[in-house]
Amino acid sequence: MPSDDERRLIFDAQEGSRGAFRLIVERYMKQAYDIAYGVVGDHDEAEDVAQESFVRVHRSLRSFRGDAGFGTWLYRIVMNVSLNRLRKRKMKEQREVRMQTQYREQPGPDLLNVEQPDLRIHIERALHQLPTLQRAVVILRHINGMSTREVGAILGCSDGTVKTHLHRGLKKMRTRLGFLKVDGS
Amino acid sequence: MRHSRVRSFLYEYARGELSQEKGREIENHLLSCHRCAREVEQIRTIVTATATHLRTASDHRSAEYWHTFIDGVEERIEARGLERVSPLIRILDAIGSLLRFRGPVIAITGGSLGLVIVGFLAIRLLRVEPVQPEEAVRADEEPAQVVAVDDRMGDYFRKSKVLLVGISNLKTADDRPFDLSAERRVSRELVAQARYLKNQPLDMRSARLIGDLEKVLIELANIKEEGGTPNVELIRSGIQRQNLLFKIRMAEALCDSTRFIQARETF
Repeated sequence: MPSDDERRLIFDAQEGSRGAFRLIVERYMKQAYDIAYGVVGDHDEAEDVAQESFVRVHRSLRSFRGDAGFGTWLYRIVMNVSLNRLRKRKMKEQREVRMQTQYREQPGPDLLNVEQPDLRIHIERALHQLPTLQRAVVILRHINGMSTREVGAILGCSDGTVKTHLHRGLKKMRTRLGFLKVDGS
Repeated sequence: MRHSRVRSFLYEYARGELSQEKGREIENHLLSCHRCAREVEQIRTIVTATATHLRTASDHRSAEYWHTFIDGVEERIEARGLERVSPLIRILDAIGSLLRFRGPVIAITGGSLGLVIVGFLAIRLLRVEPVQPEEAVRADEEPAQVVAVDDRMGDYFRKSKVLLVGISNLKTADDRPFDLSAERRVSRELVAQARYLKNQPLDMRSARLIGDLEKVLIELANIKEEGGTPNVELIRSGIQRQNLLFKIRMAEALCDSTRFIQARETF
């Protein structure tokens, strides 16, 4: 549930306070950006998704009743916008592939260069190779540190489903990052 | 705690999110279950790896970027607000703002334009024909009086010609007295007609001819019944000397041509 301060901000923003809305954006923009980036995997697109999400929040702010946390409501919007963007991108890629009659293989685990020093790239790549829902759960729960209940509220699924997707997603990542030693080096 | 239940909390245990009591229960289970213990190690590996290497994406952006981010959101909101407004409302809004900020200018311009239009219409509707000079009216008009004078003058010349031709062709060989009563009567009528015509506005040539004819006609009107040939011869010589028949024909021709021109212009 939102704090009193946040509730006040939301109320002012609902009344049309531009400053209050700016404070809300300032408070949540980085997390929204991280979630968007986790799904779309591109900084420019993540910016576009995050800003678009705040535009939608502004449009629907009056309908927010505070039953759930504001963050949960916002991240659900971010996730929906991100998934829509991802869906459109995939459709576009499929059209392009059909037009070019070429099959462009996604970089799989066999393409990972173990000798490459920047491990972050490998981890990000492993993350973005996950199925969409598993990736969303991993991003929200594992990377952004949200609770299972929050993730379930954002994605509209039960706690058990969140746990299952998290378990499967992390298992796939471990498989793809098999070169990692147990001590994390 | 059963194995399946412990497995569902391994992730939370690896991240240290469980309460102490629940954590102890998991630890007790891990001592006896190598499968779960290995699972926990693998989870910790990925948690550590991601915590160490997977920076949050927002850290890639500078502080300046995050300042402009909010502005970008507001710009989008404004742009989206404009998009939702229908073109008609935008036009009305533009007109309203124009009237609001430039009202006096538009009022003055509109008022001036209205006055010009009203003035133009008033001039068109209440247009007064310019007063033409009296002479121009005379020239343009075809007064009935002038037409009547011309007619009477033409009639006068025709009758005079017939009379003078008759006098000129009169046979005087037998020296018998002539019956000139008809010629005298016609002469008197023509003299009266000539006097009338002389009081009318005539051109100089016609007026002179009428004057010459009047003298001859007076002579003819006063000729005696038993005047005999010498008086008639005297009149004939006067007609020939003054070349009156030729002048009458010329005057008639001039009258006819003038009438023709007037008739053509009128037509």
